[in-house]
Amino acid sequence: MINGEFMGQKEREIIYKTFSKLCYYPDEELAGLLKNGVITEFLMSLDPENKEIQKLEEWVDSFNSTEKLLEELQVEYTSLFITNFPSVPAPMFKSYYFENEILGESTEKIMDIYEQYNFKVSDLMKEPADHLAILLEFIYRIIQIDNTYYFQIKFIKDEILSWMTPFKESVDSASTNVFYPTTIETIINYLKNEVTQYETKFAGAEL
Amino acid sequence: MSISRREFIKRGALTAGALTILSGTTVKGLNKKNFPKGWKGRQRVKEIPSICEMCFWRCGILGNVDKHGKLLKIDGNPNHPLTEGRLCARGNAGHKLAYDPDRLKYPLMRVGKRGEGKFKRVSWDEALDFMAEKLKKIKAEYGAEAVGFFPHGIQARFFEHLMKGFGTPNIVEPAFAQCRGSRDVGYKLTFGNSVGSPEPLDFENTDLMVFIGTHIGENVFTGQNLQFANAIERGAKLIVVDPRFSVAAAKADYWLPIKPGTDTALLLAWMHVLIYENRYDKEYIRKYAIGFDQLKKHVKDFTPEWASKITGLPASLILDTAREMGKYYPKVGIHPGRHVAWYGNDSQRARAMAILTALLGSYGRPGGIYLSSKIPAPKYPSGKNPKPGPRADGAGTVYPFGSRGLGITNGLIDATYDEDPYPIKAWIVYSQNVLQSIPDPWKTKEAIDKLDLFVVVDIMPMEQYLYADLVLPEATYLERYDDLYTVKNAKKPFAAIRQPIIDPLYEAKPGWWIAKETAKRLGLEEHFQWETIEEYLDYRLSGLGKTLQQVQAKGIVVYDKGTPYYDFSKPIHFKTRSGKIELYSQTLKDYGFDPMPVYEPVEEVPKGYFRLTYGRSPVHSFARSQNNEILHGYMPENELWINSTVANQLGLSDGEYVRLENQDGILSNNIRLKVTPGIHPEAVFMVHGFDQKSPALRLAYKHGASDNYLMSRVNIDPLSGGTGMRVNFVRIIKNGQPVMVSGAESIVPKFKKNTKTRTPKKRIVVPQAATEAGESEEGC
Repeated sequence: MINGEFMGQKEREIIYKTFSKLCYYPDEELAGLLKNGVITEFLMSLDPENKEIQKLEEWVDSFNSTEKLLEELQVEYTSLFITNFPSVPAPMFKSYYFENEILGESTEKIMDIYEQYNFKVSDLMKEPADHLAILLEFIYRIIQIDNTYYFQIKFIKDEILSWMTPFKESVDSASTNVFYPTTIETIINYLKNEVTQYETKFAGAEL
Repeated sequence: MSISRREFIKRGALTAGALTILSGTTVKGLNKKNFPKGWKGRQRVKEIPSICEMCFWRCGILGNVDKHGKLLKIDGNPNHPLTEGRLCARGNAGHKLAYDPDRLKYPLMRVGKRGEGKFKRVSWDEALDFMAEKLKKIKAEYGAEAVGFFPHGIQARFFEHLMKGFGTPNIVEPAFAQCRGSRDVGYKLTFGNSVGSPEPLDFENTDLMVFIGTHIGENVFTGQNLQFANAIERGAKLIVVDPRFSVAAAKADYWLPIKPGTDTALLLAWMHVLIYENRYDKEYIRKYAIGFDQLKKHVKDFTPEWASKITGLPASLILDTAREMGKYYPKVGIHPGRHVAWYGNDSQRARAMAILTALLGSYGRPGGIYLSSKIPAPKYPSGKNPKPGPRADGAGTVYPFGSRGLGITNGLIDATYDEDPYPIKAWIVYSQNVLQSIPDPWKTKEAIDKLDLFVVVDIMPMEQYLYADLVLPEATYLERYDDLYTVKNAKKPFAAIRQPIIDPLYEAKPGWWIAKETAKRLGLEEHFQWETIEEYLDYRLSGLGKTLQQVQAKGIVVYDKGTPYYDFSKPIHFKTRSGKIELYSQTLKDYGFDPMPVYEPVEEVPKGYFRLTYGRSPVHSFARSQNNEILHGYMPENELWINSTVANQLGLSDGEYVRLENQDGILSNNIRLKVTPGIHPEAVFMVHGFDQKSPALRLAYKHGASDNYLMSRVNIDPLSGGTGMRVNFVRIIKNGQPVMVSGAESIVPKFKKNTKTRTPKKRIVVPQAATEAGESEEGC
């Protein structure tokens, strides 16, 4: 729950893994989960006060098949995060917002962090290392290894929340439906809440 | 799919997995090198040689890569025989192409209307299956020739082999009709060989260089710039003919600020002086040329005084420069030019330049034009191609000397638009920018509307991608192998490899992979008889006695075949119909053209208007580099050169923004004025390639003005099919009002009546052999 206490380790793993999945290109699995209400229920459980999730549910219900929903999600993902006309999309990787390039200095810094934890981005993965989905997946993997918060919270603040404001603004202005604005908002709110919880709990501790 | 929340929680959410556990230790620095500030401690671990593709000259590069596989910096490759380790601004900025956030990242399929720019990301399998099915359907219904292919660069060669195997004859590059085609026709008709790339001017030994519209220094090939600078330093003289005070003109001993469109008159007058003052190479002409007597008679009246009235140049200047050539021959290097698609009489102007070169005895001799060499790399191991049907672009028919190798882009666009001689139903545009490189983009868009399939293979989302049914993201030159690059026009010819410096980003794929995978789906695997690209390159290098592995460290194989000049102790056979240099061309005569160049006046500039001219910048390539962050920083927009006297008369100031309106009423974007005495009063000039129309190019979008979008008219060269593009006139629009001299009026009503200034009517055919050789070199 966004305004509640820290979740348990297993719950946090699921949350971050699901967040990660929500930020990849939509596939049948995601569309199926959305269509049968699992995703909206998941989002609602994290942010029950968010009225937009109700709208999201209604939007999902307006599709009479998972295939049509998937098509809509894929077109929306493409136009928001890959290419669009006449507005410009909201690229989903950090270095765009800091260095205006792919694989910028901030990406390399993130790759250094992955390396410190003995991870690297799979050769099969075609997104850059600072893609939001991979950043969220990294937290999920770190939780499994070491569920102490200091590093996780610092990573969330420095590598994710640091670019969420312009990213979300672009998503909100270019969206044609409620799915990504709602999803992204829920993710951001959850991340912010974790940071707040940590900072409240360890007030005065320097990150 | 149905999954409950309980199952969802139990299963641990969804499948994902981008991160893997690192095996082994981290990579240590292999070759320490101090990098400048801004590299933030990143250390090079690899230095990989390859060849550039920021323009078509393909200079040697070294890519410096760090432990994460990031390209840190590009240096020049000191092993490259022409550039010797030097690299221009564009080459240095190449990493910004690879890391451009706007680049195409995934295959995209159109879901909206053409031009709407609405796409869905699809997998490569979906994309290629879709393309193959469409191509098969079109072939079954209309024939293979209903597919047009617009390639550019060595990366497109594999797909070109595929298209030939598919059976279409309609393969067209702007390198011919929008660039150097007319030049090659003129030289081939004269000497039996086209000019090729780079232009084989013997800078090393020349005593006098002559540039006619060639703006080396702005049109930058690093190797040629280096040779040019060395020649100047050595004391070689320079004559520059250009209505604009170009960088080259600033270095010249003689600058001839000619009235645009009158170059042939100057060339004929130069011939007159050389012949009638006995300053030509008599021995060379007597032994190796035919038609001298006819030429002598032909130029009898073309005196400097005659040419002065036409060109606006002082007769004494014409005389003096001719005498300079007569003084230094045969060590006179007349640069054949590159982009020569000017007025629609361009093949004949190129003939005049070739004939002048012949009179000076400079062809195939030190200090003049040296000869190209063969490189013994085996040809592509293709299966047997089907016999293609008749071409639609007019190469070899409507335009009898048009290249069947490079084709005529505008001819194919016309054919698509008019559905004549048959319907064209698909275009595959590969690394070309058809809306910014081929004039009359409105017609091109209307032609696209008639297609059943429009595929764009590209790196950046140029405007054309908005109209595509399918967009395929190609890997950049830094991320791929390409075909072997062979350079025959070099004192020591050489071959260079392109190899990946970094892994392809996102889902971009190299051209060889796209072609090979498409071939599988079309049942044309026989045209790709190699398993891996490395195996193919081994095969190509085998003729040079090398393997890919042996070449990878240096990137270059030099092939030394001796001196690139004629051996005058032996009989010399020119590859012309007569076996000699043809000052008088019976071939042209037989096909109804002037056998010797004739000056044809071009349309005069209407009162109150300017002739629109255009050219290059050293920091941009065509219309393809304007979104590069570094190059955009150097030159974010183009300027309009306007003569200072004229500007004063019109009340225009340096630095202010205006718009241009052409003879058809088409308005440009805003462009900043550069008021200068260094341009002919009749002309204005801008650098080509600006005002990109695709908003997906965040930096380049709407910056500067587009010359191409002001080219709603062309004069077609009847020999080659080349589009003479300097036949467009513009007037200045300031604050929404035309700025014209007193008494001038809009010419829009007059010009709207005639949409084409010249359309060849003759459908004649010349033997294929007359147009084939030496035409497969790409680039412009």
